[in-house]
Amino acid sequence: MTQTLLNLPPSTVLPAGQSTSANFTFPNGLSSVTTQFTVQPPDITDPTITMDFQLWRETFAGSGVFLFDHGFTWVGNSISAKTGQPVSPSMTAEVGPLAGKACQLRLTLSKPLHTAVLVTGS
Amino acid sequence: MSVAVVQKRSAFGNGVASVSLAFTSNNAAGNLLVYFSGGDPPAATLSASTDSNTNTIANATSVAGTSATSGNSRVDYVASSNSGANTVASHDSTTSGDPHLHIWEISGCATVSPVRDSGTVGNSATASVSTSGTTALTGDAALAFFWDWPASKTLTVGTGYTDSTLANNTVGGDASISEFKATTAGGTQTATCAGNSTDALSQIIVVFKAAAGGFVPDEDYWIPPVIPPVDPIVTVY
Repeated sequence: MTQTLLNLPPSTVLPAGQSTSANFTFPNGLSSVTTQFTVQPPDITDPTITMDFQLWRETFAGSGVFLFDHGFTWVGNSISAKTGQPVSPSMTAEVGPLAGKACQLRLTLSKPLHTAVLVTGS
Repeated sequence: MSVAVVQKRSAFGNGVASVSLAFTSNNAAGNLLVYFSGGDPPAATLSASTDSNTNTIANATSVAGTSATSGNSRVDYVASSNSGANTVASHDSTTSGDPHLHIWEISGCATVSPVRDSGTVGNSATASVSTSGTTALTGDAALAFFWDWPASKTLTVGTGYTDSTLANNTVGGDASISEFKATTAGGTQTATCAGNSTDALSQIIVVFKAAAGGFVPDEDYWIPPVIPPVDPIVTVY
């Protein structure tokens, strides 16, 4: 069963520079976490946009100390070798240390980005 | 000390230039770390994995997909890990790749020149890869990686392998599995996986040496000379 952990609509504008999402708690009993961006036109084809995506987890409840867990780098107008079309980035990772932990997304963007963001666990 | 899995984890990305993944727990000092990467064919290339804990990383072997339907794979390793938290990154030369990354920590392996043997298959729907040599010994660590680009599959662990991790990209369409066993016999080692149909897979097997057995140097010791006992009732003149 898939659970939605964070859901930002397509109208979301993520700011340039560094930003951090609200915390969300990853439940126990799941095996993987997926973060899917749906980048809106014209940003999806803008090669000057770069994004460094990171998912961080809290060491223990209430500590306020977060550790890097997984992440990726993305460049606008990335053309999928499979489809020949510009592709929005996503990443899936085994849960590992995330079970039961508060998590947050940390982004570094070269320009503002119009995108939906969906974090799910399954 | 037998070879054993301490921890493992996998991840994949869609349309990205690189992915990074942290180990669940801190690495212990002196363990073997194995980093499997799968990347897009045929124009893109996989460069060496990197990590965040100043480990010395070497390449065990790589295989390039031999067609547009068979991905590139490589396996890098750290012979003797530093202790502490560690994040591993896989790097594909394309900015729109679908990289897969599997990371393993193994205890009980040799910490110097640990690669015993390896083998690769670049493009085959038969999921079976064997070492090129016959030098593996009983108790070594055999690890294998199967990479299906560009199709999603629920690949399952092959016969004789006791641990595995699957990264199945049902959205973007690709899959990879890595697996481990402590070898139960010497000689040529083979890894298989199930769940494929007709997709061409790139495949890697690497055998890492188990640490030397539990013998320790003998201690020098002195054997006192045997002095015959003297019978107290015998008079000696």
